[in-house]
Amino acid sequence: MSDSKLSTFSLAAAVAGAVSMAAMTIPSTASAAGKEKCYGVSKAGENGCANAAGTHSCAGQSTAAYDNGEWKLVAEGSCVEMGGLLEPSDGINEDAKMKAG
Amino acid sequence: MSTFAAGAADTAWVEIHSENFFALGGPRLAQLEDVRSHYAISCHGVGLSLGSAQGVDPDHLATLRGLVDRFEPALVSEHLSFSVVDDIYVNDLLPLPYTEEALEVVVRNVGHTQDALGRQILMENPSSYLTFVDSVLTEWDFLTELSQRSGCGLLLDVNNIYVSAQNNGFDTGTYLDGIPGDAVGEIHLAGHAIDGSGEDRLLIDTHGDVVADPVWALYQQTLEKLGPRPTLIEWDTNIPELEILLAEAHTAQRHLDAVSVAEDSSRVA
Amino acid sequence: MLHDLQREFSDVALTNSVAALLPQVTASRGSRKRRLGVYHANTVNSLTDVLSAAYPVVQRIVGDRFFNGLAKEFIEMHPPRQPTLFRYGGALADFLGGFVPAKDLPYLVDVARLEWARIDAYFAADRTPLDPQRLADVPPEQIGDLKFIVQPAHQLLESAFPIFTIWAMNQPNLDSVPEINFTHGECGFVSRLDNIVIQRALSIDTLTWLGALAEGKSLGAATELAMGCGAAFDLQNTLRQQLADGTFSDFHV
Repeated sequence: MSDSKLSTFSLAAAVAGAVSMAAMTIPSTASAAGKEKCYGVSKAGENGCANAAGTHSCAGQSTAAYDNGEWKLVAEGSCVEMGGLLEPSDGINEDAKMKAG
Repeated sequence: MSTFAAGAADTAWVEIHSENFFALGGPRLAQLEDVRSHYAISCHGVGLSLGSAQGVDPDHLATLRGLVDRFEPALVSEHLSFSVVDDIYVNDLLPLPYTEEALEVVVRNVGHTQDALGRQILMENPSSYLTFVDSVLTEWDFLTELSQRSGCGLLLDVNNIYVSAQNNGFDTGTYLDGIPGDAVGEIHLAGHAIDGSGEDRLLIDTHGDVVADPVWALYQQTLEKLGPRPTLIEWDTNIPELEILLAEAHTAQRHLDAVSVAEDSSRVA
Repeated sequence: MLHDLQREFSDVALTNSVAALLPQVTASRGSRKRRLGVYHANTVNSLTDVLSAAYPVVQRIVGDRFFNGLAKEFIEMHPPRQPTLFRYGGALADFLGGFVPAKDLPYLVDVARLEWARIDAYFAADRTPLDPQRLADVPPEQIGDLKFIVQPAHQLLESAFPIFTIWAMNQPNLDSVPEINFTHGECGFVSRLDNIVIQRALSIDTLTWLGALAEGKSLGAATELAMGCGAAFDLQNTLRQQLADGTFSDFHV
């Protein structure tokens, strides 16, 4: 590490600093540090999706599949609100462009 | 769930779908450890596909073995159905034709499973929505033969008997008379839904409602014939408040108490 | 042959193609096709529910009808091949990349990758986070050679789109909607701490540092790479945050 920008001393000092700070702070990720944005830890129930993910059941459902019959493959969800932030290409997403515009 | 996991419910045991716990780690297994510390467990499989002509998947069996070794369930059960063909896993309990060939397949697969787990398993009668041209055995004869040849026990789902009887036109009393009562190690109850009317009327095993009156009546009849058995009420969709579930469980307990005069008290989960 | 019948039945369940099986089944009354339809509905609806549980943000972005149509096509192309349903659907991001109706939502592929990373993290093997105090015992001259073992749940993601912000603005019950800037991509990680899935957007130097450590590079080598990213890499704060996030389970020198 002779030609390194890092000296053994600065590395060791940084690690020692991190360890001593870790000892002082509660190891909770809810307190986002510095410039990095933290998502997905602060709200109760946010992991409900993964909690319910892919559970097996031996129950039946119905005689009908969730088929949609006559429907257009046009996204109708929150992409409409975000549509104005992207440049939608011409074509099937005209709806979104108009609403966003 | 947390109230329940803390042991608050007056419940003797808890049944899990084994495959929901085939994870390497994470909250589900942690929660199961918690439940296991308060209740006995029953592992009810939905994916081993013991009716598959291609045999049992050794990896699946090894994972199940790991779960059974870790949680030491009081009961291990599976379904009389198939899910796996050409390595595609169909996430439903698909029905078998009741033929000699199918019987040999299931006897072999159940035997293999019992050898691998080192214990008896219970096989559950399915809800079915059709029958096969090639079937030569009734479902009760098929189950009787399966139990005798493989040494497995039976998990009698009383709602499934009723649903299949309504859909396929057989008599529930004849079914009960044809079942080897001594082999039955557990009973399931559940709610069903009625879909369509007239010719198209079908009962669907939704596990999403209270147990229907005719199913309670059939349960009573079953207990009178077999004596008390551990009974589980399945409720997988439209899950109501815990109080409603417990009320259903208490109804089942009343039925059990009525027949278990001089016998060990069986409990309801 | 039982095997042939089972193949035909699985076709019914997954795609409702009933022609081969129909002559082999009987119904006490009514339509046999309708009865086979129960198995198809059970199979496809429950797989759609599985996908919906795994990809709530994708579903929210495209809407329910689009999602059901997407699920139907995905299920036909990618039927389950393992008996654990919580492992079903990992191929959705790649599938979306070639799904023409979604071509106007180019960020969807990476949003799906982020959601699947959350599922991976949720079910990954358990490892106790590294106790930071153990680092205090490492002699200073060995610190540069130290190699961390990263949690099995920990995954890095990099996108040309602001996927972490998109994910956040599509959560139910938001206190405030985050600002979104489509001119920059985002990178970050997903992991699990105290049995809760966590995720955090990272700066490019931190991503580089974590990526190098995950590859097995030493702390010295990883830190040099991170410093080469141009930004002023703050090792002390970065390490402190990663220790708090439980990113490492162990180390060796």
